[in-house]
Amino acid sequence: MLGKLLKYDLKASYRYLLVCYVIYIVLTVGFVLSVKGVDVTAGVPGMILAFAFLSLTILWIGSLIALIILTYVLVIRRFYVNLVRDEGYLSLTLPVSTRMHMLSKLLSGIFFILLTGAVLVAGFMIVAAGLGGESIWEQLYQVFSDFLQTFESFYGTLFFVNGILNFIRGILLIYFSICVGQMFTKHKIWGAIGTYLGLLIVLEIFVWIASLLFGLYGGVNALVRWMYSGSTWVNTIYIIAQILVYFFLGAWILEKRANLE
Amino acid sequence: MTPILECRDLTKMYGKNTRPALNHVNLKLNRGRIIGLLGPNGSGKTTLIKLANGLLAPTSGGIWIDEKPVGVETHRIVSYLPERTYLNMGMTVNEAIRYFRDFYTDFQEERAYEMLKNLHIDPSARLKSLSKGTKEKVQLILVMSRNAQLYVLDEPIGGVDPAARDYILNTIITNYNENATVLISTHLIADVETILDEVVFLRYGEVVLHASVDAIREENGKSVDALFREVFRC
Repeated sequence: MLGKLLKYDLKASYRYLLVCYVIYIVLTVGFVLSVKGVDVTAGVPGMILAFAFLSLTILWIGSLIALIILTYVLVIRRFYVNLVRDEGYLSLTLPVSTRMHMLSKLLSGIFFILLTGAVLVAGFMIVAAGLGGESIWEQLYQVFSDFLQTFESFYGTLFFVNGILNFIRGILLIYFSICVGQMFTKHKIWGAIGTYLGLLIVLEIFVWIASLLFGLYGGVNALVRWMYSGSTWVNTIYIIAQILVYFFLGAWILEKRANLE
Repeated sequence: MTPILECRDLTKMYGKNTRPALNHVNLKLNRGRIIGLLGPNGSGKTTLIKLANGLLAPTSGGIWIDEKPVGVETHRIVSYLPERTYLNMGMTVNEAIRYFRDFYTDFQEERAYEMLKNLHIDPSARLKSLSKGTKEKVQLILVMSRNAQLYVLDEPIGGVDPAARDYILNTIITNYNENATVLISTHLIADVETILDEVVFLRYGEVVLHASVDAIREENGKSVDALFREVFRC
């Protein structure tokens, strides 16, 4: 069933993103060409190119930001519309567990966000290739090698793993907030936003208090490392605990406390 | 024979200081019956239907389908038509059929295409391009193309033209097996009365009558429609 759910979750959003990816890549190429063509010393034609350069720069940066925002909006909207709005009348009456629904939404969300990330990187590569000359590939190779070297150390690997777990936690926190928000009789969206912000604040206070207590025994360095270095086992456990709570409690709410009024 | 649906002391409140939408309802629905769930606006019909499909949680008491609490297992045997459009409007009719085929093992594709043909609905049409009435027909076709044990239909004919109503009601009668139960919630009592075996009258969240249509006619000398107007006179 997970495969089928994933298929429909991916199909529901890919068209919108595909169009945006094409627009972004076209604007990237246009931006590179305009940079290469700018020559302000060449009189009026040069000024036109300079204007084109300015416009395309603004459009390119705008499309980059819009692509990131749109991806997150689509991922959140899919969960909201498909599970707690009108489509939920069908989704939640399918012979599929709510855990499967959560997993499918999580995997499709991760896929789309990573795909957008890959497209953005492709755009940067086009810019780099267009403006950086031959040496840019060597520099990129060096950056990539440095990145791989972080895995040689245990803490480097852990830092990377925690980054991925944090990314998953971020998506699940949004899903969980929507699940809680739908239980409100009125103002469900505000309920979800309030839950999201409330949880962030509560968790920050928790981290602050825990760090303080930890700090009393382990010193200031332990306090800082405990939560903010991102390369400790405690941090990993803390994030995994949140992931499990958001996932299973969210699924339980959808199953036992659905409120599709 | 075990009931297909049973409510035990079922209560649903939407807020702490509000009147219960359902108030300690005890109800048993048997298999192989077409049952009208009737009542004025706000009587609790849709609330009961949503509870039977797990879209709402009871405040107290419970609801059982085929002696199982509402959940994945009961979703397998219940075919539900809500009073709103619940399909992804970006889908074509064909895609909606494939969606049902993918998730419901009891879905009969040929039956769905036959009904689409009879109602002159283009399977390649995108759902958002269809009229409201046609969307409702598509949803009803999908729901009635399943071999379910319990069909729960919330206002199945409310949005369609009178000409299509007869076809839809005929579809309901002919497209379910003898052991299945059809629960229909509607305001159009006169239209559905001819196909009903039983009726349940709800008022202010309480069951005020649960009887067979034949018994109502014999004991009251009235049609269900006439009795409804009498019981719920404003």
